[in-house]
Parts: sequence; structure tokens; C-alpha cells
Amino acid sequence: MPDVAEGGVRSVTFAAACGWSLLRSTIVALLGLWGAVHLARLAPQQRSRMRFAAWALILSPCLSPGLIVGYGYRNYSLSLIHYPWWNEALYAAILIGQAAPVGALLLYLAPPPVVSPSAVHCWRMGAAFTGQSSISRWLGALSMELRGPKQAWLPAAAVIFLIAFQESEVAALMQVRGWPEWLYTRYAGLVDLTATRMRMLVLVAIQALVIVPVVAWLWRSLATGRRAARDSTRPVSNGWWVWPWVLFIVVTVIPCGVVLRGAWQGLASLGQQPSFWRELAHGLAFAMTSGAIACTMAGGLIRRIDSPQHATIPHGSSFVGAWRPVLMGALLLPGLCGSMTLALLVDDLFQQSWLQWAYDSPVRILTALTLSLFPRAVLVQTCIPYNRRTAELHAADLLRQGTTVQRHIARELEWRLRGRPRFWAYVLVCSWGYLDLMIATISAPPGMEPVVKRLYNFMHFGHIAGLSAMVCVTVATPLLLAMAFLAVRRWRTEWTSA
Amino acid sequence: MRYALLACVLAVAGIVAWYAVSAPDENTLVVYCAHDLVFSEPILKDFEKETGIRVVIVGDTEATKSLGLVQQILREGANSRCDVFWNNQVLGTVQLQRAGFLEPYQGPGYERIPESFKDPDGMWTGFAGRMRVWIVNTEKMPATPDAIDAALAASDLSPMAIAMPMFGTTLSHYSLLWAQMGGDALKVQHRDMVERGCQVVSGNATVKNLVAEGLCSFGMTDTDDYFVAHDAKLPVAQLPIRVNGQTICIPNSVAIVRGSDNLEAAQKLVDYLLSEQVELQLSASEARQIPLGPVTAGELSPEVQQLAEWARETADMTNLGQAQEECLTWLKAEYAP
Amino acid sequence: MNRALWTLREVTLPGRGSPRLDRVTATIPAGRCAIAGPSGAGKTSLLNLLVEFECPASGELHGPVAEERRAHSDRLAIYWCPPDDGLWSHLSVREHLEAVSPELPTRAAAVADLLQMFGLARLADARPDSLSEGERSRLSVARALATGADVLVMDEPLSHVDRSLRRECWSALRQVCSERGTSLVFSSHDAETIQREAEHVICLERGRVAWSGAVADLYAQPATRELAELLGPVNWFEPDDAAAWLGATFSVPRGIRPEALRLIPAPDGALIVEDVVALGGLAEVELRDATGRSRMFVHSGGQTPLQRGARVMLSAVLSSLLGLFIAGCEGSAEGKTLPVAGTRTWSLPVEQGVLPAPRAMTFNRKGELLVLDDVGRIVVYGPDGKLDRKWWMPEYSAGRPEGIIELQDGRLMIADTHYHRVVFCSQTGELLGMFGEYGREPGQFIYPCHLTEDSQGNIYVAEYGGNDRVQKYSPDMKFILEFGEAGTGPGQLQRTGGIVWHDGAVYVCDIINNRIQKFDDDGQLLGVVTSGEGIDLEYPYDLAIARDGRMDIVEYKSGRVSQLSLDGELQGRYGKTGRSTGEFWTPWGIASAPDGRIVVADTGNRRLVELTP
Repeated sequence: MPDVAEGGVRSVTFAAACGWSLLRSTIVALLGLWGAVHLARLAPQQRSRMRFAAWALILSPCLSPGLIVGYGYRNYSLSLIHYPWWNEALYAAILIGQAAPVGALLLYLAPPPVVSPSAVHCWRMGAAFTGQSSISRWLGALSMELRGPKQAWLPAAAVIFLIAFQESEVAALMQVRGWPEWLYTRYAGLVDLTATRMRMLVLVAIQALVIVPVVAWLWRSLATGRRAARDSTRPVSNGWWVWPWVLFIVVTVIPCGVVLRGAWQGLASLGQQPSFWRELAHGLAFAMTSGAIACTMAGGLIRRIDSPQHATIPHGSSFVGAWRPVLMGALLLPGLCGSMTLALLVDDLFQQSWLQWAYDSPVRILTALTLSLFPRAVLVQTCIPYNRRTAELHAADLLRQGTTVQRHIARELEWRLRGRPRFWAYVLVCSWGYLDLMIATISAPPGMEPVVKRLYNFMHFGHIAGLSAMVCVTVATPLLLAMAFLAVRRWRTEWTSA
Repeated sequence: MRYALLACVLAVAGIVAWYAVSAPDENTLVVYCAHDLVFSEPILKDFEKETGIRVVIVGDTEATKSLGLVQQILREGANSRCDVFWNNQVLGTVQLQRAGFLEPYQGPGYERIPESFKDPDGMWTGFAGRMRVWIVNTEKMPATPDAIDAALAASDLSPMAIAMPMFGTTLSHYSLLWAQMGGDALKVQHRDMVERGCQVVSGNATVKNLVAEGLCSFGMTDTDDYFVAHDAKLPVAQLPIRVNGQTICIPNSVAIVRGSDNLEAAQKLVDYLLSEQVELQLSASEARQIPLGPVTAGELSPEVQQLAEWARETADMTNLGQAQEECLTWLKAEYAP
Repeated sequence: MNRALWTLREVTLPGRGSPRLDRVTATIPAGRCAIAGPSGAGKTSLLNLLVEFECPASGELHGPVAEERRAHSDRLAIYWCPPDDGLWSHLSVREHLEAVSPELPTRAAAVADLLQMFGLARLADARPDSLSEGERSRLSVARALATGADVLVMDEPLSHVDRSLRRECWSALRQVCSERGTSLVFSSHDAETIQREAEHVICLERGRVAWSGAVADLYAQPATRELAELLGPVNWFEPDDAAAWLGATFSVPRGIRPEALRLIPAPDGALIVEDVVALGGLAEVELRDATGRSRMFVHSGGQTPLQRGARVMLSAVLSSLLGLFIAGCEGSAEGKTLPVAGTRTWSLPVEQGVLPAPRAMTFNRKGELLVLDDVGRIVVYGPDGKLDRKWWMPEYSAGRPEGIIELQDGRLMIADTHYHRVVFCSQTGELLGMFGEYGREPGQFIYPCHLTEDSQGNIYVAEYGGNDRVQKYSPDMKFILEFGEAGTGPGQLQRTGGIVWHDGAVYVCDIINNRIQKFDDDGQLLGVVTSGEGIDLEYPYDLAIARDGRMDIVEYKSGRVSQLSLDGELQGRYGKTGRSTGEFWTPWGIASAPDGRIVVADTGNRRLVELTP
């Protein structure tokens, strides 16, 4: 990072801060991609019964809340105060740990490549005899690979990059450099929203460039509607299983252990804090509502693009049809701004005279949360293969016209194929909204603050005694609600079928 | 799809209905509170119980410390729904005063607080202060003024930690330095410290953690942060920071925001917060806040008594608005050009 | 035609660039219907529409199945085998079948049967991702059967299964469908499968319906080479080719199936064998003619393999009227015109939205007109011309009958062509008996098409199908004799048509040979009635002899009625090819009423035309 001011003060311009974030995110993306490629091959090698557990292990780091991870490593990060580069390396490692599994999932769920592995091999077999120069052959091979088996590498790397670039909670707790820290510093005093908007445009522009391959992947994934045939020719050594375990321990177990020690003893005190429960309810309500809206919008978007078997464009395609990928990208952009910036911009919007009436209402926080969650909702729902009209789903759907028994089976199949994955996607999206600190802080109406703000303050001011229990209850409550829903559903199904 | 849409509509309607029931009305006080909610919430709830006036608390968070409640009130402007602003220092409140956002009130509580801790026109009143102190790791160095001076004079200042001076009490501290030393001198001093390796970290709590863990030897923080480490039986000690011989006592401040719909209730709350009862309550908390108004002798713990003595030597922290603006402008250009 | 399951009108389904289905109008009948066509023709798109996996962008799609869904919720109306099998990855093979079974009590036994039938018993606990493509195909089909649905829609079922197992699976599928009365709509590339398993076929080409009808008709009379090749190898002859290779005159392009093409070794033959490739029951032979041109032919091989360099002659047995191309044919009423005082035209009663076409007719002693139509009915009009009654053939899914007479004892006798038999019934449709089976032996039939009875009550049955002949039976259906054989010579027949006994002689329509031949009661040829100058019949399909001895012949190709005396003198002609009044389009049948009226089955125009002399 270049020093700009006089003396020894390490001042950083916005450009330099962005450059630092870009550099870090690029390194994380490259290393994360390398890890993701191997992780993506690990779980499918397992027997089907073990596959779910394998994926759960691989994905657990990316599902660990940033708040907990950051706090868990906060003190260790402090101990590296005299070794800033080690601190950066630790932060980058945590980023890779959290983002690489997302890349692995994306690689696993990628649509079939335009050029098959066998086609690439055919090209290689003939390339040596075409008389081309070695550079031409290398470029040709690269082109084949990027259209072929490695066609999902670019979007996977882009998603890892975006996760790393947007991350701000752990960065704040670990005090690493980057554009979030620059913005926090810059915001001291009155926030200049005009300057803010200009800088946000820069950040959004950077991310928009990177999101192009992601949108293209999303578009193609939705349009083809088929899962890729696994590249079974190159299995991964089982030694690679060390890495998911390491990441699980480093990114999930250790921070949770730090935060949750003493949870049991603190549980009793929670009963005397009615405001905690109230804020918990607020957080759940906002998260569930905005998550529902975001998932519904995402589902609608996916259905608009859906094409059952052929990647067709309607005969005599309209202007809208041709610009669909661009429109989709535009809808996703607000969620790329980062929570803090998005909350400020939404705040600004609701201060306009025509929206002032809603400023004090929950509509503001719901708007900010929904926009923030929408890109993630689209990504998560894209990973559900049965969000598209597939033959398996339709084969189940046809049973609805049959006997009572067949109609019952149709409902169960629909739940198993589509309902349950969507439910868990919804839970995941809600959890992100539930633990979003910035939007909770800036956009919550008075008297309806979500619980995450209280948690953060406790973490910051080091009130460990009550914190562990609060974190435990806060994290567990949505999971318990989800389990309760599933249990009630199962009981109702069994009662109905009896 | 239609069920999902229906669910969304119902959920939004439910939340809006819930808000309509629970939203602040003309009988509710909205209090923006920058003080740690662990300490402030019980006090406000007690007020609610005693008076029957419903209080809705909007807290602050360290994550948006730079944004803070002061900026929120400024952003909200004339449409702010804050009735009473409880700040954990003075300068931000002064900023609001200069921007014309405050309503004067000189009630019994105001009368109780000494002149040096309140606005003469009653725009705001200070209470329950905390000191700026040196926190020293006693295993690394002695907790004496000479040791501090010697450490400050060393060529390697990496054992020293301070919070980013753009925020909170450190900004107040630097504003005082700006006013007393002059901007140029402060710039030179600060740059020199940083060049010699002084660690500029995110907040006072971080300074406390670094010193308490022995990663740094000493640093500048507040008394409430010091006592967290002290209560955890970590090897720390504190010394008051002196500027030209004076200590730095930064009080909490309370003010009524102009345009409040519930002025009478707001005044009641202000008087309540400025009462002896509340100051004693805050002094007895883990933060050991220093009562600024007269209290019954013997009600204070020895630690708070010591702090109270230091507080009597404090510099005037109430007249630093201009200095704060200039200092902040410099710091922004310094750290985020 | 069987009842319609689906009716499509101008249905379009968009695609990338060109539509996948382009204004398709078709009817999917009950029974076993195949959707055929080359890759990209739109087969999968059509099937997707039927199961509502996709919706048409325009047009109407009506499914009576939808009505049944509401009416018969106790049975699944329709089920599907998608092209990618559509299996549920979380269920085992057994669980797939159990999941879709309609009733719990009988489920276990039904599932066990299906597992056995489709060779899946040892894989009962396996999950789909561990199955091969063939196993997945079989499971998909078994699952569809397990649903007990009324209609099964299958997209290239069993296509990944090896040949021997595929036959067994198809056999199981056919058996179950037959037992349950389940209709089957499936797409296939395989000619053998279509021929064996389907009764009706819809041919698609570039998103449009190229042909729709009975499989046998498509096999016998494909309009184009592409359509012909959907059902197997064919030797296609343009008119020039026919002249050069066969020495025959074809006015229209025509296809000749391998079994109808003969390569006859001849020392003085004009054609030389260049190459021979044996293909099991068929052989591909490359022949070179005197000009040096060579061409490939596919024939049935025969017992004597041909050697390179051998000289041969080509001969075609055109008994199945292949590749008749009628459009643009300019049949006209040349020469004398038959005077007609009036005409009356009417259509047969509509059946489930379909307007049937008449095929064959006869008048009974009461003066009622009995008409066979192309949906499988016998329709009876009273002497007043009003519809009196109608009934269905006992079976009609494989094809419809082509000839009907009233016997002296009052029974009706019907040539049930595609069931290789004759059927006896009463005047009200009560089935009285059936006779015959498939074969070439006496007492067996290939395609019996027309009947007549002599004064002794003996019955003459004319048939075609490579076994063109007439068989004579006693009144109690004991075989007496046969005469005629496939060929072009005197006494030989190519595609027999109408047959009438009159005054000790049997008059037989020899359609492809464009003549009427006359035989005595013992089958001896008496002569060709229509050899006179200026007669030039063009595919005489049927004839009727009135009481006054005039012979009325209906000509398929020229769309006219020719009236001759019994000794072959042309009396007059009426009609020409066309769709208007006074025109006919591929007429199949003719009948003479006792009062001298003539009724023509104007098949192509789907109407009956009565001519009053």
C-alpha cells in the first residue's frame, strides 16, 4: 500500500484501498479456485448415502456466520499486530476457506460444457499435426478448455472473487486494509452522500465486470436445465479430504469454540432479558420476510428464463427476450454494493419527500435486506436443479391426476424434489439476512432493532458472560424453527396418509 | 408461485401491522443512546417503570462507529424521530448544537451539574464522565508518569497503541490537543509517533486488549475499557492522561432534539438521567462512570473516588467544536484522502 | 379410425431459429400410435405437448384425456416416459414402482411382476445413478406401466436396450397394454419397432406433419422416399428410373419394398451385378446397366446368392400400389360421357370429430346401401337415403375392412383386410363368425379385399399383398380352388380389387395391370374385358354389374366412372380427378342399386356420390 501523506502516516487513497482489495481478492480467487476444483470432485466420489455428509463438511465454512468467524479470530489477529503481513495472510486464508466451498458447489452444479472432454481430447490428438505454432496451439488448447470441461472455472473464480471483495465484517474485526475500512474511515463526520454515490459506482463497476461471467453462467445454467455429466476420468486422491477437515476446524470449530464457551452457564440469564427476545423476534421477522421476497423474486426470474429441454429463444424474440441477461444483471447489481453502502443509499432514498412517510416503517429495512439478499437468492436457487421444469418433476406432477395414493405420492415427490431444497435455500437466504449487521444498524425502525446489533456490541465490548448464550440462542433459533417446521410437516403427512 | 407471493404479502402486512401496534406514538419517547446498552438499558427501563412513559431505545454499534447516532440525526434532519439524545461524550452533541438540532432545557437536573460540564444555554448537559487514561501492562513496564515519558521518548514506539483518532473519545482527545497545541504541532507529533511505530488500531477496546495481552506495553484508552481488563484480573494499571497538566474527563451528555413531539416526557427523562440516583447507578456499574454532580459521600467506590479526584482537574471539553471540525478534516485527509 | 385422444389444430412451438412444431394439425388416436420422423423433426416436442410438459405458443390442443381426468379420478389418465428417463435419484428401482402404483393392496405383487418382466429384479434395491442407460430405460417404462394409466406417452422407449432384451420388453409392454386396454403413443426411429408395435403412425418432418395414417398404408403407399424410409429400406424409382431399370412405365415416382423386388438371373439380362452385400434377410446389390450407370437395390436376397458379374433382370411385383402420386393427375372423361340426370352427395356421420371416408359398398336385397368406412364402421342407409343404423367392426385398430357383400342367406360377409380374415355378421351387426388367418396357404389370407358369391353360394375372396389371387370356397367355407398369381401376364394379377360373379363368370379388377380379367367358375381365364381400344383404365379399383348387364368401373387414378358392356365396349364415362361436383378423388368403391342408380365411394373427398342415370 503506498504511503501518500507526509511523515510516517500510512494514508491510503480510495483508489489504493480498492487496489488492495482487488489484489487480495484476485489472489484469493486464484487460490480458492484451485481448492474449489479439487473440492468439487471430492463429494461426488462418495457413495450416495455419504454424499450429503461430505457436502455438509465441505460447505460448513461458507455457512459459518462472518460475525462469529471474525470475532473468533479477533484476538489472534490482534496478536499479529506487529506482523501485519501475517494478519493479512490469515485473513486471506479465512476468505479462501469461506469462499472456496462456494466455488466448489458452483463447479459441481455447472451445466454441461459446450465442448465435451472427449471433444477436447480429439482436438489435442489432431493439434500436433496441424502445423500451427506452439503459441497458437496453446491458445487453441486454452480456448477449448474454457469452452469445455473448464467452462465453469471462470464463473467459479468470479464468485470467489466477489465474496472476497465484498467481505467487510471479518475485515473490520481483524482490522485488515481494504475499501470497507477506507469507507468507514471516510465516513467519520457527516456522510457526504454525493461522494459516497460516486465511490459506490466505482465499486459496483468493478464488481459488475466480474459478475459478467457469473451472469452468463447463471443464464446458461438456467437455460440448459441439465446437470453436467461428471468428469469421471480424473478422480481426486482421498488425501484431499484433509483440506475440508482443516477448513472445518479452522473456519467453523475454532471460532465457534471461542464464542460459545460458557454458553451453558449464560442461558439462565437470558430469561431476564426480555429485550433480547424481542430483538430476536424482530430479526427473525425481517429476515423471513425479506428472504421470502428475495426468494420469490429469484424464483420468478428463474422461471422467466426457464426452458424445459432446449435453450430456445422465442420465435421472433422480443427486445426484452434478447436483453434478458442484461436485465438480470441489472437487477442483481444493488446487492453487490455491500450491506453498508446499500443501507445508506436506501436510507437516502427513503428520505426523499415522496418516500418520507415510510422512513420510520419496517419497509426501509425490508427494502434494504431484500435487495441485499436478492443476488444470493438467485445464486442459491440456481443451484437447485429442480427449480427448472425437469422431466423428473413433471413425471411426479403427472401423478396428481391419479388415485388418492398417487396424489399423495405426487405431493411427497414434489416436496422431496423441489419443496425441501427450496425450503433449505430459503432458510439459508434468511440466515444471511438475519445476521446482516450493517442493514440492521442503519435501517431498522426505532423499537424494532434486530438482535444482531446487540450481539455485535457485546462482542465488541467484550461482555463474554452473556454473549455465548445469546449467540447460541440466536444461531440456534432459526435452525430449531426450521426443524420444527419439518417435524410438523412430517407429522401431518403421516397423519394424512394414515 | 402464487402461494409464495401470497406469503410475502402476508408477511409484509404482518410486520407493518406489528409495527403499527408497537411503533412509537406521541406517548413514546425515542431515545438515541450511544452509551453501552448493557449499562444504559436498565436505567431507561427503570425510568419507564417509574414514570409509565414508554421508551424506545435506538442504540449504537461499534461496527458503524463512524456513522454513529450523531450522523444519523444529522442525516435525518428535520424528520428525525429522536426525542432525546444520550451521547457517551460531548463533542458530537456540540456538533448537533452547532447545527441547530437541539432544544434548550434547564431543569432541576441541569441545575445539579457544574458549569464546566454543560452548555450555558441549556442545549445539553454532561453527566457520568470517564477519563482518558494511559493503560499500562505492568509486566512490561512500570505504571508511572516517568516510565510513560521515557517510553514516549523512545525511538521505537511499537509497544504503544492508540485508537484511530477520527472517532469517539480519541477524537475528543485530539480535538483538545488541537485546541491547545495548535494543529501544526499536533500533526507533527502524530506523524512522528506513527513513524516511530505507534500502533493505530480500531478502537479503545482494541488498545485495551493489546496492552492487557502484552502485545503492546502501553496505550491510550478510556477508564471503562481499562476496568474491563482490570476486572478480568489482567496485569494492567492506569494513569490519567494529562494535557498541560490537566486531565481529560469526557462526560456523557444528554440533550433534547428540536422538534420532539413529546417535550414534556423528554424533559422528564433528561432530569432523570441527570439525577444523583442515575449517576450513582452508573458509577456502581462495571464502567465506573464518574458522577459530575454532587452525590452523597460514601456512595462511591474507592476507584471511582480516585477517578473523581482526577476529574476535578479536567480540561474544558465543552468548547471544542471548532477544533473538532478542523482536526477531523485533517485526519480524513490524512487517513482517507 | 379409433377415437381421438388428442386433437391438434395449427399448433406451433417455437424453437431456435425455426419453430420446432409449425402449425401442426393432427389427431392422435387411441390404440398404439407411433410418432416417426428424422432427428429434429419435432417428435419430442410433440410428445412434450401431449403430456403438458410444454405449452404451445399458438394453436389449439384438445385432449379428451383432460376430460377423463376429471371424470375418472380413480385412474391416472396419462403417464410419461421422458427421453432422459425422468427417474427420481433418491428412490431405488423397487421404490420407483411402488411409489406410482395406484393401489396399495395389490402393489407388492404388481411390482414384483413388473420387475420380473423388465429384467430388473436383481436391481430392485439399486438407485438410478448406479444403473446403465439400458436399465434406466427399462425402469422408466416399467414405472409408466406401474401407474396403471389409461394412456402412456413414451419418448423413444427402450432405445438404449440391446436388441434381444428390447424385443422382450416390448412384448411385455404390448401384453400389459393389451390386457388393460391402455393406449400407447410413442416416438421411435426404428422401423421394425414402428411396424411391429404401432397401428397408426404420424410422420413429422421439420416440425410439420408429413403423413398420418395406418402403418400398413404408409408401408404400402408412401408418398415420398423420406416417408418410405421411415419404415425400412425401399427402392425408390422416379419415372425415368423405372423405365431404365425395370422397363416399366411409372407415371409417378414409386417405391418398391425389398420383398417386392426380384432379381432374376438371366444370361441375356441387361444388368450386371457389381457388388453384393448380405444383410441377413436382405441383400444390397449394386447393378450396372448397359450405359454404365450403376445403382444400389435392396431385395429380399432369396435362396440363391448372386455372384459378381452375373447378369440379371429386375422385376417388380407391384401388388401393393406403392408410391401412387395422384396430385396433378389429369384423369378426364375422355370419349363418351355417361349421361347423368342428377347427382346427390352426402357425407358419412361424423365420429368423434372426425369425418370418415367411405371405402366399399354394397346394396342388399332391401335396397339398403351398406357402406364400409375408414374408421371401422358399417353404416347403413335405407332405401330413402336416410341413415338407418351403424355398427363397428369387432376389431379395427390394425386396419379397416375393404369389401362387403350380402350372401344369399341374408348374412353379410366382410373382408376384414388387415386382420387377414373374413367376418360374418347379421344385417344389424351381430357377429356370426369369422374365418381365416394370416398365410399364403389355402384357407389363409394376406390382405383379403373383395368378395363375391355365385349362384351356388360359393364364395370368391380376392386378396393382395404379394399373394394376389382369388380363392373359392363352398358356402360352408371349405376351400375349393384358387386362381391367379402375382404378375402381369394373362391370368396374373397385380393388386386385386373389386370382384363380381355374373352369369357364370368372375370379373376381377386387376388394378395395377389396369384391366378387368374374366375367369370361369373353375378359375380359368376367359379373357381381358377391358382390352378394347380407347378403354385405357387407370387403376380400376372396384366394379359393379347392374341387372341390365352394364359394368360400372370406378378408377382410382383418373377419378372417374367408366361404364362398359360385359363384352368390353365402352358405353361412357363420368367424372374426373378433382374435389368439386362431378369430380372424384381416389375413389375406392362403386355399387349399383337395383333401380339403376350408381353410388360411388369418393374416398379422397370423404363423401358418397349417387349418380342417377
